[in-house]
Amino acid sequence: MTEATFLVLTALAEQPQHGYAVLEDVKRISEGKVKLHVGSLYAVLERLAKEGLIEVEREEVVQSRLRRYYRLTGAGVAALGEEMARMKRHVSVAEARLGLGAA
Amino acid sequence: MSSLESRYRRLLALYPADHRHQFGDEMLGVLMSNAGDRQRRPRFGESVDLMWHALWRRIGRAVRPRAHGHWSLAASVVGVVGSLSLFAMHLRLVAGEQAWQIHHSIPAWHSPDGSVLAGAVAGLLTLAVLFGPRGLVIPAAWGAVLAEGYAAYMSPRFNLGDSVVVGVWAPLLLMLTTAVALSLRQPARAGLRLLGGRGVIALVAIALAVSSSMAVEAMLTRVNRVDKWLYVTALPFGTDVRQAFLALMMVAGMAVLWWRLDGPVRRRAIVMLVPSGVLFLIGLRIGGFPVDYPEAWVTLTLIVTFVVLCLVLVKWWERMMHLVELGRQAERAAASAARDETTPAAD
Repeated sequence: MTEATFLVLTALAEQPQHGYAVLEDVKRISEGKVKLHVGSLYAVLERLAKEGLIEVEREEVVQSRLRRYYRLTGAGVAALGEEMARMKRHVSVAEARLGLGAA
Repeated sequence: MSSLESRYRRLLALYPADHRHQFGDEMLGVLMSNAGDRQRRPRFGESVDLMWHALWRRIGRAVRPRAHGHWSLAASVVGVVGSLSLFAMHLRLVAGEQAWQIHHSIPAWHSPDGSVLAGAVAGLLTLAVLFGPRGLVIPAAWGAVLAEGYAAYMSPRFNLGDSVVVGVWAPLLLMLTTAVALSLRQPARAGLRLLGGRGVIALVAIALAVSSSMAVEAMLTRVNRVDKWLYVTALPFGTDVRQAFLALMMVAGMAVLWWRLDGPVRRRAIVMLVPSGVLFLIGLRIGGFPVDYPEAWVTLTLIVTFVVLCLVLVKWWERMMHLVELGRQAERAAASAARDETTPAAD
């Protein structure tokens, strides 16, 4: 799973969000280190939807513009959980090798 | 509409139509929300990102045909037709040479040096396409391309140096088309299934007729030397009858495709086969103008233009048919609604 994919799934973990909110949330979660462009964001969203990890929750029109809210599916929650567990394992290995583990 | 919005729209127009239909408005909304108050133009990084993803999507669609798309199915048919045709053509030369030697004890015909190798590999490919596993088909197809390239290089006409003949390129182009077609992702044995048992038998019969034609000619010459018609068919090189027979077999092959395939698959298969077919016809009729002559390049340019035009026409024709069908559906729906309104309620 790429960093962008992980961050997009994390952005949708708490509540359904529309594209612009996901863009802002990814920036916030990564502390400004990952700034997705719109083309990249929609490439990720489209792929995740195709893989069944996210789905459209609702659509609304705000100031004559379409807003689509996305949410995680059950498979999306599971995929995010697996990725978190994998990252935690890597972190614990790194901590152990650096001698930073809990004494 | 602001100038910024129209510039974003122009960038979004680079995406394929289906993507624009699904995400275009939404992406435009996010782009506009993300823009600064005084921003008049898309940011550089943003523009590059949109152009890159639009290009990627278009390339992805072009090189990755849908599993059961019409192009993919047509390619599987081209794989069957191309391998059979090449095998038949090489076998015709080799068998013809042997028959002339046996029946007349004279070397009236010399098949080119590379022809035996190219024929053998084409035969292996044909067997793999008809009976073998798909894992064998793709290596055999590209092996046949190499063998065909060798045959073209070893062609006596090529060795004359200044006279590379259009006809020499035809088998190479057909083999290349066949190899690309067989390498595309496609359902297993789709070409054979689409052609059906009768279609495959008809194509094999045509291939047999082509491959045995020169041998039969040699045999007929021996038994009926005085007959005028047979005398014409028996002329050793380049008779009109022999050329007409090969052209007729090509037409017969096209007729089989017409008979067995549905419209969209048939049109695509024919578009793929047309460049090689045109080169064969040119090779048959003109039989050898040197590459130095501008006519050769004019001809090739015309062929390329023709192929591009065919692709555009196929696309345009199907779109028009789709719109016509949508119109008919709308008319039917309107007529049905009008009938419902005029019909008095039963109660």
